[in-house]
Amino acid sequence: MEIWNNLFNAFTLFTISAIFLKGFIVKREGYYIAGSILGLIFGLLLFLVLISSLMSGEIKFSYGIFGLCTIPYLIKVKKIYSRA
Amino acid sequence: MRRCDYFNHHNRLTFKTRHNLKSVKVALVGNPNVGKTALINALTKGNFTVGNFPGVTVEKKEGKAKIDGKEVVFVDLPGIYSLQPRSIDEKIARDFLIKDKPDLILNVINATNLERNLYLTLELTDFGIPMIIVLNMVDAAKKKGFEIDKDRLSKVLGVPVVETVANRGIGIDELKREILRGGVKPKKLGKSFKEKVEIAEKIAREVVKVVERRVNLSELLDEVFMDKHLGIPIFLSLMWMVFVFTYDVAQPIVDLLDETFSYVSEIISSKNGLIYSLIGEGVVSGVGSVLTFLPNIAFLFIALSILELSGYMPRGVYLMDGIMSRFGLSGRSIVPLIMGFGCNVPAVMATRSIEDEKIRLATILVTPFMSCSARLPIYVLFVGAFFPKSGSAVMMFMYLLGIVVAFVSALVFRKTVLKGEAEYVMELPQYMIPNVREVLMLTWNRVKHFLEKAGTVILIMSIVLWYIMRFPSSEIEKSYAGMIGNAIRPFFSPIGWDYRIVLALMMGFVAKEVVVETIGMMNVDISTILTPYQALAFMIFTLLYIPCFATLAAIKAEAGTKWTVFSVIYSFTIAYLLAFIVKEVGSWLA
Repeated sequence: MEIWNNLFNAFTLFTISAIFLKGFIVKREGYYIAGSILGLIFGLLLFLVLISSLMSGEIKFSYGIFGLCTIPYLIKVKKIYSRA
Repeated sequence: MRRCDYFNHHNRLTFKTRHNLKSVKVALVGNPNVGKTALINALTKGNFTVGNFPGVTVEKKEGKAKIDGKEVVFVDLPGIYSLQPRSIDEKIARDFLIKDKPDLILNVINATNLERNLYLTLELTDFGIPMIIVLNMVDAAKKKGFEIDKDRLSKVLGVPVVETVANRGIGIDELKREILRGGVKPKKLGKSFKEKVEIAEKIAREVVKVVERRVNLSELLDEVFMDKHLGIPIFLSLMWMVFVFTYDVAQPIVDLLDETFSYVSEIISSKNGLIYSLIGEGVVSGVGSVLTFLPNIAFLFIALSILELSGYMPRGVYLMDGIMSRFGLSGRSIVPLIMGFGCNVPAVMATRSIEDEKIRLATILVTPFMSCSARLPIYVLFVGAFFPKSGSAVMMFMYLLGIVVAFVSALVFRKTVLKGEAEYVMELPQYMIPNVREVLMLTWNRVKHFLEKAGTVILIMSIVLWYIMRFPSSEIEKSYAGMIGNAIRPFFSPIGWDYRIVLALMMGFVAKEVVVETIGMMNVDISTILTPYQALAFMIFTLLYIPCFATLAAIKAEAGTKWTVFSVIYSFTIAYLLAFIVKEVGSWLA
């Protein structure tokens, strides 16, 4: 049954990738921003899951945690749009 | 030009001269989702529930505040587009203005959509009640690249205009000063509907200044979140994240609470005496078995509050538009359905904003299928025992199943007993970064409801359950509880549930949390008396079977006895059939 959790995580990662891909195809920045926001939320969430799993002694790690890497880009976007 | 130049001084009488009364009644009137509740919270430092979607307030609410020593009673009326009483909430607002005659109207206007809001303003001028225009969300309008000439607007309408950003407390002090001045009786503008619409258009053209066309982040994001290919996968991904947050992240706190309550219960019940048994095995064990799941509920509400306040939630459901309209529901059905995730009682009441009576009835009947917070402890208990590795996935399945059953049922009703056409008009709010205070307030208002139940219904039930489990014999099978369970069990024999599980179901009629309470108090290991498929069937049954007493009372109040009985029979039949199918399919697979 654990496969369901992995499947849903994979689905979420796939969705985020698809957003970036469509952004690349249609050349619209909104897609990069939305993809990064979702990536960040997912990364934060999986970071929390990792911490809570450490507390119960069973490590739950997912690559979605790398969504946290979008933070610098989102800070840049925030600066641009609050100036605009 | 100074503000006071605009007004006829005969019209302006301050509260001090007009009312030497103890308190002043101020009505907040405006379109849905313009921030009336946020405004009343800012004015009264209250904690009324706000939401970033239309129709959160469906009945009038009152809040009091002292301004400069004067008591002011603010009445938050439901959001309405006009004063023609087509829906119940429009009738409530109109009746209040006619019968209760407030001393002052605060007409709250969404600055991002002035023209549409002005129609209601023009209708309000007919009442001859002193008025102040509150131009809310001016920050959002500026972000969109336009400004409203408030002095010009004030001159045209003949009333004071105050700019605010209610959720950040901006402009509230100025508004309080204006309230003390008492507002001004507005000019009557336009007689017929057509005239009023034309005047609203003209005023909007006159006062709205486009400063610059800015790139709007909200529009950029909408293009993605409402994308016809990616919209639904994004919605499902976000729902998945909600359940991971609710189950996986909250679990260590749940385990800690569980151990604490078990420890306290054991210590108390280890002492001799009936009273220790009542407190330890009854109250602490019973109430504790429900309170253990408080972190799950709080985490779910935090996540849902963020989605609601950010403005995403209505979009998520709107994405289902193509599907929804096929199911005969209107755009306004979305609000009760979303609210149903919290508690079905306010959700049923929220159907008041639906104008079409048949759509309203259909929405009332399907709202109980939306999985409310009371059912969450049942899922957490069962997934912990049977599907620990995929808890979030099973929980998400339960919520999606509730939505599917609600939509299919709506379709059945709209094609048979509640036949008719569905119109679909939905206003999507602006995206905004949720304010932490509002998220916490919204979460607290919902968690509070759960805690209140724990201190009342669940506490009483723990005593009742303790009694029927202890007497006439302390052996559960020979106790009254065992007798009740065994008497009803044959009815559920096709699904193969144990009498203890059947007893828990019966007790759940009072409130869904009592299901978990009963299981907790019987101290039964559910993994030994059920197969995983029987457990899944049980979860599905509790999701769909008869709404709790409070919801039934709300349905009776909103739809009458006939539809309440119909709701009970229909939901029970659906629950029974689906549970039976799951158990049978499970048996074949096993």
